Amino acid sequence: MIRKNKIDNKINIVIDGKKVKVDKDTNILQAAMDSGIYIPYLCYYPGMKSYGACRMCVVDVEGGRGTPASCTTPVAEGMKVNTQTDEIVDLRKGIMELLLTEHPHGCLTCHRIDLCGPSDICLRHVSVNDRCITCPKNERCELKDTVRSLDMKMDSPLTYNYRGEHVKTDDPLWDMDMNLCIVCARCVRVCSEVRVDNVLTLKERAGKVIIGTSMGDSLIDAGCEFCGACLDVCPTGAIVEKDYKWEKAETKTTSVCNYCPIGCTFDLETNARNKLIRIGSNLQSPANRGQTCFKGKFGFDYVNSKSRIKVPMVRRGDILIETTLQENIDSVTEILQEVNPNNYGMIIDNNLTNEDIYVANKFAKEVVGTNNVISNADIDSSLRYKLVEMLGYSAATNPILGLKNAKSFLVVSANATENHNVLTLPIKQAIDSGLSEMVVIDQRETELTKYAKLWLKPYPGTEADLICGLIRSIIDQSLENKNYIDKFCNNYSEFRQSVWKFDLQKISTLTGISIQDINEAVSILTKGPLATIYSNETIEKNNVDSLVESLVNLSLVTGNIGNEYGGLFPLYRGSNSQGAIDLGVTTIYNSENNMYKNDNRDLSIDKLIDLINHNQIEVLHLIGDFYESYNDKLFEAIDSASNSIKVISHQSLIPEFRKQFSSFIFPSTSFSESEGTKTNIERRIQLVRPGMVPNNQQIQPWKIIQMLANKMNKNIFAYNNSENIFDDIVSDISIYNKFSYKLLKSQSNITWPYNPNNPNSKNVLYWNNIANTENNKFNFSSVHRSSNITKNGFYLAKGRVLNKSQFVVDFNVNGINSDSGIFEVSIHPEDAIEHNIKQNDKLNLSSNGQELLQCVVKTNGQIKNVLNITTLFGNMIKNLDTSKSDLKYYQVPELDIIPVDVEKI
Amino acid sequence: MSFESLKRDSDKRWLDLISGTKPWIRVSSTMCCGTSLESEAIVSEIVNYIEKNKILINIDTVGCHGICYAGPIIDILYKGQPRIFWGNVTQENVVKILDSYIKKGEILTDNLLGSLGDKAIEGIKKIDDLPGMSFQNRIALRNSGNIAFNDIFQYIANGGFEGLHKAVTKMSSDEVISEVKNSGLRGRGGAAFPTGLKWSFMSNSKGVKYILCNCEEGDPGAFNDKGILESDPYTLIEGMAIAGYATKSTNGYVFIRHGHDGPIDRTKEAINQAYENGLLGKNIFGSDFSFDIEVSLTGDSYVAGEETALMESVEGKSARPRSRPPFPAAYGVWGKPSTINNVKSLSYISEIIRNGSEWFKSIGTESSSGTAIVCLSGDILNPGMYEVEMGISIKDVVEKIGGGIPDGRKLKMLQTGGPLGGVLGPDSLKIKIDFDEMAKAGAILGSGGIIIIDDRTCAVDLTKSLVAFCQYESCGKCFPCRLGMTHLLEIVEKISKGKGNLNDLDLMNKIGKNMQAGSLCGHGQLGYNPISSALKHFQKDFESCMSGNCPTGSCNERQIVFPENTRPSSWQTIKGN
Repeated sequence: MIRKNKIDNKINIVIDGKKVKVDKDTNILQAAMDSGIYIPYLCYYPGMKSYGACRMCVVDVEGGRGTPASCTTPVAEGMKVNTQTDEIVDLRKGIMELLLTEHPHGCLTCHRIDLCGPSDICLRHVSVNDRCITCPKNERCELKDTVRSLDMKMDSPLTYNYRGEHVKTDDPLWDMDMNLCIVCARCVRVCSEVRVDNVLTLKERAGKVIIGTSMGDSLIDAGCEFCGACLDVCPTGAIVEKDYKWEKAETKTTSVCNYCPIGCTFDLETNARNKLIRIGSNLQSPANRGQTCFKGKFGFDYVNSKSRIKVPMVRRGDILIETTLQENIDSVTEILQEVNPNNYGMIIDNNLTNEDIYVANKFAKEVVGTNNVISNADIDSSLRYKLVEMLGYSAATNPILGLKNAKSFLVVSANATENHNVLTLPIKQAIDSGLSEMVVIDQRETELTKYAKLWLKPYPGTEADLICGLIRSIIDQSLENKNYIDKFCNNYSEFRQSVWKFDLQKISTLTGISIQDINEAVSILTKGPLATIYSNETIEKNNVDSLVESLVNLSLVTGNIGNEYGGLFPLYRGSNSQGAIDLGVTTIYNSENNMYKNDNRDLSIDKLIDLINHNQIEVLHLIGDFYESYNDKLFEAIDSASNSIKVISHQSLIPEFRKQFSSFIFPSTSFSESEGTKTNIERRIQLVRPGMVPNNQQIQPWKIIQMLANKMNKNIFAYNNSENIFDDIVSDISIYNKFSYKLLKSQSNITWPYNPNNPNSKNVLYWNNIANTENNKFNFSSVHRSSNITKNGFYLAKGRVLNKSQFVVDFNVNGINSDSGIFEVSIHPEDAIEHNIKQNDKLNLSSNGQELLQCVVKTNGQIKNVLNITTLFGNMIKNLDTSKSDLKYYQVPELDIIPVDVEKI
Repeated sequence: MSFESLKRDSDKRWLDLISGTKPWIRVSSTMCCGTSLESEAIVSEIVNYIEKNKILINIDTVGCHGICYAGPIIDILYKGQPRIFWGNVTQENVVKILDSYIKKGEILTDNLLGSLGDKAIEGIKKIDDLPGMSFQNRIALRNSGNIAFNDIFQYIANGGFEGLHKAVTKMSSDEVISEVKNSGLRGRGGAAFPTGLKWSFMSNSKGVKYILCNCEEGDPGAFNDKGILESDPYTLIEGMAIAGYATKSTNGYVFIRHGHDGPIDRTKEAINQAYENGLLGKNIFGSDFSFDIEVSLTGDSYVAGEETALMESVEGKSARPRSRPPFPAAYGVWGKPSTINNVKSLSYISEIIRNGSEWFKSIGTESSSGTAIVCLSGDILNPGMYEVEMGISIKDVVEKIGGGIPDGRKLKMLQTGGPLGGVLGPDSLKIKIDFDEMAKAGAILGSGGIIIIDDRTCAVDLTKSLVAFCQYESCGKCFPCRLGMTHLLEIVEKISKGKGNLNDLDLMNKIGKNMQAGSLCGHGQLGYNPISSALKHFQKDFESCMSGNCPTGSCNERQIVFPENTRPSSWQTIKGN
C-alpha cells in the first residue's frame, strides 16, 4: 500500500537522454537538480515560487513550443528535455553576455586571474570598480560560477555600463551595493513569500529597474526584521553582511543555533584562521528550511571574542590567575570531596547539549551524591506543569511547519517574532494567504498584533479568565467538538460545571473585553485547526498555571490536541530546554524510567536560589554560560552570598561583573565548538557539530566533569566521545528509545517518541489522540475564577514593532540611520481625566523609585490602568549593532509589563 | 421590471426622440472631440441658446462617428427631415447653424457634411457617400454617434441586451460558447486567438471566476477601444455578461488605463445604469445567473496590457507579467480562473448572439470573420476610426477611406499593430486586412492602428522612436528584454547619429534573436520587430545614416524626449558625450 503511494507521486521523464524518475508536481529545473543534472539558473531558488526572469534555465522540450524556462515548466509523464543543444547553449550565452554588460566582471576577464595570489595587489589592469578584490563575494559568487559553467568567450562587443550607485552602508548589519545587483528579485521574493515582510521591492522599470525599499526609506523605516534572508539568497555581492564581509569560508559545518528552542540548523562557516565568520543558510534544515532570525544570523561573533576564557583560572584573593587544568582539577576535587552533599548545588545551563546535561546530572547524583541539581530551564516550568498533568508530556505537540496549514491561531503573551522568530514564519504565511486568522491576547503592541484579525487587550492578570470566557462562549454556542471530547477526554462534565461560574458579563467587566469581541474571537478560533502559541512574558508567576490550564482546556474543547495542524506551543527559553526536561533536570520530566531524574521534586531553580540566599550552599557548580538576562536573579543571589560560596564555573566567556563570583573557572567550548545533540521545541533531536576547533584550552564541560569524577575515584564514566554518552541516554530515557547518532545522521525529520513502525504520525505528539495519561485520555481540569484583581496604579506595557507611521527615521546621523528617539505613551482617556493628564503632556515614568523614561502622552490608550509604549524594532537593531558588548544578542531588551509611577512634568 | 416591459419603455422613449416633433440635437463628445476640440463648450453654447430662445429641444451627447477629420460633429433630426450633419463645428458657428435650421428651416451649407436617412434632400449629399463612410460595415460601432453614451434606454431601444436576454433565457452556456465558436470570431487584441475556444478553456470549477476586459490600449495610433467605451459602453457590458454566462463566471473587471477619464467615467456610469435596471447583479432576468462588473485601473504602463501583467495590476501589484503555465484559465486574478478578452472582441458578442453566428460568419473572409476596426493616423488626409469588413486591402483603406496622403507626397512606411508590429513598406498596400494574410506578409493587425508615414521621415528615425517606446515600456523583469531593449536602443541611436557601422546590424540581429527566443512575454519576444522589419524594407536608410547622410534629414532634426528616461544614469552620461 505504502509502496504504491510512492510510485504514484513519481513520473518518468527523459533529460538529455537520461531516464529519471521525478516528483509529479515539480518543474523541470528542480527535477534536473534532483537527478544530478545541472541547468544554469540565477533567479530560481529552491523552496520559493518560480519567477522566470533570468531565462538562464531555458531548455528544449521535444514537441513543445519555443525555448521555455525550465523553472516555470511543470514536468509531465514521458517528457523529453534537452538542456545542452547548440541553440540553447548559444541562447544562454547571449543572455549572459547581455547581463555582463551591467555587472562588473573584471574577475572573469582580468589576465591575471590565474596568476594572482591572495596577497597580491591589484594594479592597473582593471578599473577600480570592476576589480575582483572589490567584490565581497569574489570566488563565492553564483553569477561567476554560472558564467564559468557556460564556458563563454569574454569578448563582447556590447558596451559595458557601470551603474554608479552609491553603496548603502548606513543601515545596520549589512551593506547593499546595487552596482553588483542583477535584479533576479530573489531577495524581493524571499522577503515577501517567505518572511511576509515586503521590505524590499523592485523599483522603477525597464533598464533602470533596481532593488530597494519602496520609498527609498532606510531598512529601519521600511519594517525590516533584519533576518538576513536576502543575504542568503543573493547570488552576487549586492547584499553582504558588514561583519567579515570580505572573508571566505574555509570550512562549513551544519550545526544547531544557540538562541532559542526552535532549533534552527544552519552552516557554521569558518575561515582559514579558525574564526567563525558567517552563519550560512542550509535548505535541508528540518525545522527552519534555511531561515534564521537576527540573533541566529548575526549574533555569533562572541565566539571569536578576545575576552573568551582561554586557560583554567583560579581565584587568589581578589584576582583570578591562570593555572593549569590539572591543578584546577586537583583543587576542585579536594573541595568536592570535603563538601557536605547537601551544601553542594549544581545549575546546568539550558543551552548545553544533552550529553553535557546528562553527564553533569549523573555526576551530581552519583559522584557528589546530592539532589541539589537543576537546570535553569526550570525558570519556565510553570508553562508546562499543567501540560504534564492534563496531557502527559511536557512538550509542544506539533511540528513548526504544520502551522502553515492551521486555520486559526491563538497567541497569548508571546512576542514570538522576536523571541521565537522562525516559528512565526508559517503563521505569517498562513495569514498572508488569506486562509487563516489569528487572535492575539496581549497588552503590548508586538509585530504579531499587526497580523491579528482580533487583538484582545485584557487587564493584566485576567488573561486566564478571558480564556475561560472564550470557553464559556464556545459551550454556550454549542461549538465544542463533542465527538472528540466524548472519545478522548476525561472529566468533561466537572469541567463544564466549573465553567458555569464564568458569566460572560462578569468576565467582560473584569477583563475589559466586550462580549462582542469574545464572541468574535470564538468564531475565529473555531474556524478549523487551532494552534495555540503561548508564553509567560507578561503574566505574573502565580497566574501562569491557571492560564496554561485554561489554554489546554480550550484546545481540548475545540479538539485540537493530537490532530495534524493544531496543537499547543509553549514558548519557553533556552536552546535545549526540552532536552533538560527530557533528561530530568527540572521539576518536571518526561520519562519516568530515568534513573538520574530529579528525585527532589520540591527543588526548583527558585528554591536553589533561595538556598544560596540563605547561605546553605557552600559549593555552587555552574555548568554552562548563563548568558541570558533571565539568569540575573541567580547571579544577584550569588553576589549576596559571595563571601561564603565557592563557585566552580565551566564557561566560554564570562561577563566582567560575573568574574568576581568565580573561584574556579574551566574554559569551556562555545556552541560552535561543541559536539552532541540538542532537542528542539518540536522534540526533534538534532546533532550539534563542532564548526571550529578550540583556539586555546577550551574543553567541553562533560569531559572536565568526567576528569573530576575519575579523580574522585568514581570510575563510573568512561566515555570516549559524545556518541557513547548518547547511547547511555537512549538506554536510560525511554522517550529517546530507538534513537542513535547513526539514525540522526541519516534522518533528520524525526522526533520523539519515535516509532519506526508508524511513519504516518507526522511528528505529532499524541497522534490519534492518545494521551500519555493513565487511561490514555486527556484530562480536563476544572477552572476557578482568579482572586479579585485590584486596579490601582499604572502598568507600563512595552511594545516593539517593525513599522509604524509614528516613527520618524532620520537618515545618516553619524553614518547610521536612527529614529528620532521621542517616546510616545498612550493612556486610556478615562485614566487621563482621572489623573488630570492632557494630550501631549510630558510624563516622567519611574518604577520602584528608579527613573525609567520621559515621554509625551497621547490619550488614545485602550486598556484602563495600562500605559502603552511602542518602540521601533529597527532602532533596537541599530543599538545592538553599534553596541560593543560581546553578548548583546543574548541580552535583547525584553518587552514586559511593569508597575510604574506616573509623574507630570 | 421584466425585460419586455423595459424594452417597451425604451422603445417609447426612442420613438418620442425620433418622431421629430422636437428637434433632437446630437453632439459628438469623446476625449478627442470633447476635450481636445471643445465640443463640451459647444454643448454649453447650445444649452445657452435653448434657454435664451425658450425652444423645446432634445439634446444628447453621443460618441464617436469615426471621421475624426470632421470633428466635432453635430446633427439635428427635426420635422420628418433626415438627420443633417455639420462637421468641424465651433463655438462661434454652432448658433448660426441652429438658428437657421430650427427657426427658419434653412440648412446652412458651411461645414455641412450631409444627411442620413431614407429621404434625400436635394443638393445635399448623403453622409454614407462620404469617403470614410461608404466602405464601412459598423457592427461593434453600430451605435457610435447614434445613441447617447449615458442613456441605457436608447441602447435597449436599438436591440440592446436582446443578446444577453436570449443567451440567459433560451440558451445553455455550452450553446453560447459553440455559437461564438461557430461565428469564427477571433480575438481582436492582437493574438487573434478564437474567442469561443478561449472561453471553452475556462475551468469548470465552482466558485468565483473572472471575465476580464482589457482596455489598456497602449499602442500609439490605436484608439478604437477607447472609442467603443466612450461611444457605446453598453455593448461591452452586454458582451461581458454573455461571456460571464458562457463561462459560468461570477465577476468581471473592465481594465482601463489610468488617466483615460472619458472611458472610465462612461463605463462606470453605464455599469451603474445596468445595475439599476437589473441587467447586472443578482439573478439576471430572474435566472440563477448572477454577474458583477467593476472598473479597475492600471498604472501608467504599456506592459499592463499583457494579460498576466494585467492580472498583477488588478491585484494591486506593479504590472509585471507572470510566467505561464499556470495559464489564466486555471490560475488568474487572485488565483481564480480568469478569461481575458479585448474590448472589441467582447463588443461583437451581443450582435453575434442576437443575429446568430451564421450572420457574423457571412461578413469578412473565410479565416477572419466579421469586421476590423482600423484607426488611421499619421500623414493621411482623413484620419479616423473606421469599421471595415475583413478582406479589404490596405490600399483601399489608405486611399479610399483615408483619402490618401496629403500634398501629393509619397507613402513611405506603414506602421501597424503598435510599435511591436514593426514597419511595412509601400509594397504592403496590396495586403488584405485579414489575420492570416497579414501574418503571412509579416505584419500584425494587432489592435488595428495603422500609422501612415510619408517620405519626409527616415526609417532609422522612425525605428528609433519605436525602439525607444519599447525600451521605455519594458517592465524590467526578464533579463533578455530589460537588457536587450536597452542595448538595441543604444545601437539604433548610434546609427541615427551617424556613428554606426555594418557590424552593428549583426549585433542587433544577435540580440534580437536572443530576445525573441528567451523573453518571458510578448513584449520582449517581439521587441526586435521594429528593427528587423525596418531593416527588411529600408536597409538603405540605415546604411546611409551610418555614413552620416540621413536620407531625409529627420534623424538630425528630431530628438526623442521621454518624461523620464529608464536607462541607468551612467548610460545617460555616455549618451551625452
